[in-house]
Amino acid sequence: MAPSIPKGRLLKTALLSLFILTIAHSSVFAQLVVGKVIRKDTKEGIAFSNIKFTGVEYQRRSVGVSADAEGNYTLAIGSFPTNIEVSAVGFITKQVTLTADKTSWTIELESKSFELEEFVISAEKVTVEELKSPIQIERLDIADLKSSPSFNFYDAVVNLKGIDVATQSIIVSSVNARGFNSTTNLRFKQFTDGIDTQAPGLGFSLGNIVGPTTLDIEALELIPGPTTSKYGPGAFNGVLLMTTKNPFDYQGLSFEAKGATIATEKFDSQFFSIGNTFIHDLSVRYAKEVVKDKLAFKVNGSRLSGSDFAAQNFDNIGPGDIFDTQHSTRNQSVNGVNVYGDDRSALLVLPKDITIPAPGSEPSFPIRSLRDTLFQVTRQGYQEGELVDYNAENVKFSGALHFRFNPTTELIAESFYGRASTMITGDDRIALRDFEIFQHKLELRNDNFFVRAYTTSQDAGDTYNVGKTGESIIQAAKPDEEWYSQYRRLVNAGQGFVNARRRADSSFPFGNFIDRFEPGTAEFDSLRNVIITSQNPETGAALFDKSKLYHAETSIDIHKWDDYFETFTVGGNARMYDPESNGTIFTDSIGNDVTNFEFGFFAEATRKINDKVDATVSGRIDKNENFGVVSSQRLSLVKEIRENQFIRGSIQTGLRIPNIREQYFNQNLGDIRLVGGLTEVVDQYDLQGNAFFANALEDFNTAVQNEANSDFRFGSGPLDVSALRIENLDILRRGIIGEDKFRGIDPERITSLEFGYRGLIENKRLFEVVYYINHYNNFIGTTRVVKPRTSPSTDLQLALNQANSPGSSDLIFVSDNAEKSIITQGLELVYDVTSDEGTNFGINMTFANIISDNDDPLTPGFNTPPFKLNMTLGNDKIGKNFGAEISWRYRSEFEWESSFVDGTVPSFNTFDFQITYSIPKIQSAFRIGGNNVLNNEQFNSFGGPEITSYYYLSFSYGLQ
Amino acid sequence: MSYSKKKKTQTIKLAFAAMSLSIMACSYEAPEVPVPDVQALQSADISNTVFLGGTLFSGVSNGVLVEGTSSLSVPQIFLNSLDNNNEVLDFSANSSNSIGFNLYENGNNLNGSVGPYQLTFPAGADTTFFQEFIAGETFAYAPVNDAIKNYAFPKAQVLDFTVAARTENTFMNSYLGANAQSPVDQISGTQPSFFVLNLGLEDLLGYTVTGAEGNIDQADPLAHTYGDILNTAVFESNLTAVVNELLSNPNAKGALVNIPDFLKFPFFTEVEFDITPYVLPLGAKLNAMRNSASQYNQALTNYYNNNPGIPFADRRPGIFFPGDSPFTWGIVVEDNSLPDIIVNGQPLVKVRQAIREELIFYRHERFLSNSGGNTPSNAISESEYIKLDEIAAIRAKITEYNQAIEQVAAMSNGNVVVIDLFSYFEELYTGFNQFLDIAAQGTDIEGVAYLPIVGEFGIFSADGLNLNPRGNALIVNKIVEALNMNFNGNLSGVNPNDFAGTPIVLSDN
Repeated sequence: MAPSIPKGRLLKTALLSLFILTIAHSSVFAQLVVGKVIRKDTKEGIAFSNIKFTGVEYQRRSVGVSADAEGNYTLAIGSFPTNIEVSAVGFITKQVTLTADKTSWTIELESKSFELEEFVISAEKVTVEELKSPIQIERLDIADLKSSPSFNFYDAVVNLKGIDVATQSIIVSSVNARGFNSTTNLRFKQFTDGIDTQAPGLGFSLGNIVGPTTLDIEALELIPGPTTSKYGPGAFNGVLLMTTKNPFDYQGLSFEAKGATIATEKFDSQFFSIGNTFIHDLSVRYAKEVVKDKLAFKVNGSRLSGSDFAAQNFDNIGPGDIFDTQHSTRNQSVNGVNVYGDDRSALLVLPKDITIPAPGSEPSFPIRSLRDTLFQVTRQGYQEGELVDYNAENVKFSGALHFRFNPTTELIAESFYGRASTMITGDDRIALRDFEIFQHKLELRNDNFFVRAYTTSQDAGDTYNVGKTGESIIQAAKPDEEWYSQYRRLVNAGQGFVNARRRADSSFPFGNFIDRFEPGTAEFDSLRNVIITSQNPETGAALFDKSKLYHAETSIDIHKWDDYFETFTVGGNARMYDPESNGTIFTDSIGNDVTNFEFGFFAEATRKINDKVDATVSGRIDKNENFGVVSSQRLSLVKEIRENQFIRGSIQTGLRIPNIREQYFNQNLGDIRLVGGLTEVVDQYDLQGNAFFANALEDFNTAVQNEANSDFRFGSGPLDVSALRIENLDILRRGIIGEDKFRGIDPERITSLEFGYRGLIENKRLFEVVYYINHYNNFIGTTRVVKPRTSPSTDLQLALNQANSPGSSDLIFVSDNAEKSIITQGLELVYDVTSDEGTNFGINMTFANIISDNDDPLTPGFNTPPFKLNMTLGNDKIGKNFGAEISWRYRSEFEWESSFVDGTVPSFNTFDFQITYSIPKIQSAFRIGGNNVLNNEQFNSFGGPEITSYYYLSFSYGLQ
Repeated sequence: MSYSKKKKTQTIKLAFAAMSLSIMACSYEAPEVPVPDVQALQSADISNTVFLGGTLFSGVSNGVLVEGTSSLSVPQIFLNSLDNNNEVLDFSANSSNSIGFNLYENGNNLNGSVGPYQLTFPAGADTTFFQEFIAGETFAYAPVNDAIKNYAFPKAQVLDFTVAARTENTFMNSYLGANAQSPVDQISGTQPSFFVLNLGLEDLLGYTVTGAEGNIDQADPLAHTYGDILNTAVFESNLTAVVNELLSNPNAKGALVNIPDFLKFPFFTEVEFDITPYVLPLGAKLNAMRNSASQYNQALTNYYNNNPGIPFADRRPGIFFPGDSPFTWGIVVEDNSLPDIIVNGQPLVKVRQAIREELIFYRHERFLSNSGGNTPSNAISESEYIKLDEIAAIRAKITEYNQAIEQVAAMSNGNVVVIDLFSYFEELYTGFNQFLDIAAQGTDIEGVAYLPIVGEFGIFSADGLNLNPRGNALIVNKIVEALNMNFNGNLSGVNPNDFAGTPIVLSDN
């Protein structure tokens, strides 16, 4: 059993923290300052003017309040003197220093000489730096996150342009950009305060289960496209940067309580379904400057618990109709999406007609027609809900100690802890149970450099594979080897499909086996408990994963060539992975330790070509112990074509070194075995010459089936399918794994060409257009192979017959490179305006598609809607204390491919809303909101959970 | 505050040093391939193991013996597995044929050139496969391997091993020659430490595959030919002689393989009683058959009308083709036990329709639709099928011989054990009922069926009598199992799924 922090200890820690916070808070309560912003000329109040804190500690963030419609404001001041900046549309911005000698401040603003326009751009929407950025950056700051109509801040990214989110549970969502989305989002990186948030044993980030809480998040930045040269290998499709609040800058106690109703029952298409169960989320944050300008700390805690989204798509994705959810005389090959144990089918050849003689007649035995027929057969699986409970929980703690040597140099020690019990979709549906991640960071930084070292470790706790659980329960009753053999014989003996299945599902023959385990029985529950706690790689479903990651990096701004370069930055990093799975996931069975080391260096320089044109060039080299030296580069040019209007162009290369899983995978999922691409890993399976490409087998079977069903050729006459198979054997022969296959895996590469325009038109409307074209090489995916018991090189016909049955062959997914390249493109459009009353309207749309596909079956699915549309409308000052925002999203239909399941994700649209009522006097706010409030049936990844409607209510205190 | 150049340099140097140390410290070690254990028997020495036997162990497959088939014979697979050989070493007395000389089609005609059997689907995929043979080579069986351990020769019977200078078995004679020493003496001279004998099966097969026309109880070794069955007591004494000779070597031990009920083998069972499938599509042939049968029946009717005193019980049955319905037509066979009938001064051919339980040889199947078994003039001859009483007699001999084998083992003081192939094949044939057309269950290994048939998942080669490599592998594992159990060993056996079955090809036309 994996060691873990006992729940009891965690609870004690949390209570102790709360106690300390309460004591500490009583001594540091901020002082309130009230006042009014007025016109200098008429002394009338200026509605909705902005009051922001300024100074060194507020350089990288925006903290402040808005005045109400009469110009009244209330500020919480931690210490005096404090500098503020007061601004309003049509007025000259004013700097004011607040001192402790008075608590009421009236501030006068002078009007500008031009008249107010009807609409102006919100100053916080975009800065000049952002307008002229050589790369595209989507930023959500505190104000955006507070008003976003989403249950938690992490979900707010869904409204950004070009972003795809694959919802896996109420807790975990995967974020991606620019195509090739997946639930195991290996091409997209996520950082919290510079810490790569990936779970070391998974190779991807589990949403935000260990990241900042709503109370501690300061800003989200999302950079779509390859940014390898800056963020290292793996920043292929983009990065998400989360920045938490510095305890020097954000002090005091804050807490938030949220509750939501959620519908976990299968869609009832009922408008405005209020749901049938409940989730709640409690968060608390406390920060304090212990020694003025020297030492500060913060602690955070949160707990979300309740019912998870349920994956209840039982549609048949096997042969036959989608509504064939039960095996019947007309369909023996039902394969439900979220039904496990029925995934691999056997292709059986049997006489088309078997005549059973009447009693006493002659002949007395079944008469088989001389015409064969082929049909697929699956076993009856178990629905996901029969294998898991949908209780979800996410407990998070984090803390940081900041020490300032001087105003710009800071030493930070920071830790994050997250524990989650929820469902995710990886290569299988996985039930995370007490899955823990620990992150610890030490960082020294100032304006010119940083040095950062951190470690991430995970403990899979009681996590188990759900699909494997279903498979193992089925196999425990009767192994495939026996079941398919019995079924074939029983049908051949004229028992009929229903009776043959019933008999094969029983302990027949002679009670040597066990009747199929029925959900809800004590026997089923007992066996399930054994399986989900067993780490036996063959029969158990439990995952042991105590993988670790160690990382160190630095970045230094060099000013030696300031005359030539605007900026010149160099840096380097080193990382070591230490996967520990006891052989349940990796090739690290006892006595075979696995580690993986990589390092890299980068340099980036910016030069002003002339007054209008800036150029940025960067380069990076990386080395992983299992691969040669790889490099990536970027060149970008930004030109100001008019005031506040910029065009940019860039060419960049990105790379992704195969992650730990793609290198060392060795996981048995029951019906599938996942194998890493390193030669020494895949060689254990001796596939060359001994296995078929799965698609070649499919092509072969299709050809045989088409001919067998051809009345033109055979009419109703005799047919021996074996003969047809031999006729088509060349198709299969070409599909035998060659000797040159699986001789290693290479890093995948992307070359991206991007053009963009961004501008403030008439100083009030933001327009943005981005076009990109991506050229992918060495794409890493999984090559699916079928290895029969007998090598096709030994006996092709025997191998063929074995390959068509799960009982006599293994389906193996090998991490591998595509042999051909692939080209995709995308167009993103943005329009954003804010009225002088503060009402903001934004619309963005994204077109994305593959323009040059390859026919390589291993290429991952594009998994991206060809068209996405997001619209938001909101105003955080509708009334004195009211704010509201609504959003509507549309996603067109798209195909989803993954190692878990393939299928079509239908188009869907979602309507979300949030209403905020603020009580400034007590720094509090109530929020009520809803997601998918129209209860539109939807899922954004095939095989993932249904995203049902849910409605929430929250109360927050001290949120800055 | 500026950041000094010296500090920068130190930082970079430190980073490099840390990285270098890390690189040196980290590397992936692939799992070690386990070294296979030395395979041995605790109470027997298998370092110099020899096999003696007949066709089944000789490596004959598809009716021929060539290097490609002998290399996958039971002894070869066993001995190579014993040595953990990755490459196949040759322990057999190879034929120098490359395509093959068909033992069953060429018979005693050493100049015959019928080659191996193969299973063929006719063009069109609209019927099942059939057995055919291709052109081969005349007999050639030269000693191309000097250090053999597999002394199993095609058609070799127990007398071929015990009698010196016997020339009955051409194959054996070609290799061991007409030596003053008996073959078993010669083999014993190589001082084998262990032996596996497959003797007795071929002694019964010789009689059976020649249509049970020989002497079923031949007590005189000098008069014995391949088609005779040696008297059981004589067989036992000869088997004892072989065993004693081989046990005369220091610490030698051995095993005797008993005899399966080979009458269930596809060689005897695969041809259906019903001729309908073979002739139904052939309109012209059907008419010819009807006419021919009608003429024969008319001759019988006329004869019995003219001789009404002949009791009905002593009369010949007619040949009936009452319609096109299946399961009503039998194959026409010769039966010399039928009473003589003279018609127009000529004897009327002694033919009848086979009854269901009689066994026709698989190799005749391909003739049924044209030149054999469908009219009185081309009836299957006596030597090409086995009658009910002959079947019973052969089965009785199998029982007797197996008892003799048990007896010889029992007399060895535990030095010789019996490998029970009889029971193993009975297991494989569980559920088999030819009359009810119910297939044998066979066995499953890792989900792969092993069926005692010719065809998909079958363990027999295209001749229907000898096993294909995957079938041989099954036998090897039975040997291993018996030796481990009786001599306390750790022999690992083989994975039968690593061996090929019998291919089926498409017809060229």
